[in-house]
Amino acid sequence: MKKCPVCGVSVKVENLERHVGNQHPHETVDLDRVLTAGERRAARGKSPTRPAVTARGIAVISAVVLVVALLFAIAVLNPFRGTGPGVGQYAPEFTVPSSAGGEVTLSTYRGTPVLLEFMDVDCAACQQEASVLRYVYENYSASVEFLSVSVDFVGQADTLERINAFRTSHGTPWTYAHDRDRVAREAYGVSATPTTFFLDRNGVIVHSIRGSAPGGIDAYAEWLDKAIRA
Amino acid sequence: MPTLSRGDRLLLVAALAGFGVLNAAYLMWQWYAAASDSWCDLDAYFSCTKVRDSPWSAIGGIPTATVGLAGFAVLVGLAGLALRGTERLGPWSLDRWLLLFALTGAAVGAGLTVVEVFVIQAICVLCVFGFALDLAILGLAVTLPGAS
Repeated sequence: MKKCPVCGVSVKVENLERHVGNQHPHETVDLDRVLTAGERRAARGKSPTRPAVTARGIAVISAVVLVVALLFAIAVLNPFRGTGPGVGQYAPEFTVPSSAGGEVTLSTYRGTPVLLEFMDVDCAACQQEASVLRYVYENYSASVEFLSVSVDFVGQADTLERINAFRTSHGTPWTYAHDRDRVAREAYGVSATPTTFFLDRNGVIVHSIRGSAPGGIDAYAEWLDKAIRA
Repeated sequence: MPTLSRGDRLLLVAALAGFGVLNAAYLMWQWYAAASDSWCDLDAYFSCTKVRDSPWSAIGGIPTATVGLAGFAVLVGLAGLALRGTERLGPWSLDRWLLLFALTGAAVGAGLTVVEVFVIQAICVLCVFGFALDLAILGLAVTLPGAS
């Protein structure tokens, strides 16, 4: 141990040079006068040698970090997915095969508020949401049209048969449709299932929910009431 | 990378492993907090939702990403120690520990990628991102003993 020539604190011989540099950076201390040649040799032997980081290395690492950060941000934020229409805009028109046979066209619902759900038969959250929507339907079917569109997001490919089986097993009697050609999915920028749009009687978007409705039945009721009043 | 010094390589290992921690933490958060939502889906095949909803995404109720988080955190710690000048840890040199953990991480990543392709039949791009980090760290760890 040696006493620091500046502050007098006892410091290990091998740490003295670092202590003076870190704690008293503005002091000029001649360590040759404080330590004997033997102590300095011993200190060098005990002190760990930090591997040098070069300026070229910093440049390469910075470039790599930038590229990796960019890739990570792209993977997480997925900026290439469509953003879809916003609140206050007209809901984009689409015509897709209907579970009832034939086709369903969104504009035929004009004059009535619409709950438009984009879902997938294999999406676990959509299966859970179906029981919530069934309850909402029982309370709002007199004044609101319900339309669920399968966008074939996950799992096995959806077909009208699978969609009808889903409709029957979940007891959800409204019309389902199959966005086989991804027309509606792209027009609405659907990037998650379920995604639900609330349209007023003129086809204007009042609200949208990505994923399950956070407030469950109450959330659907709140936005359907607003769609009816709009 | 003949032009990078040992210190450069260690710092690069620490930086890449740091991204690994970030990535694994995000995957873990998605598993716990966003279970009612689908996410990170490009189509039915490149679908993080499908991977997350599979039985392989958790072991005994703990998300698989936890293993990645711990592994990458250890790599950050080992690289940090080596950058401070520590040469040995217990019976082995730090280079050897780094190689061991990098190799283990790459092996686990390769195994999970095989499971994604052949069992789940869907790819989670963020899992692939983590595997790519594993491979890059392994490449650096292999060259560490010869670097000055």
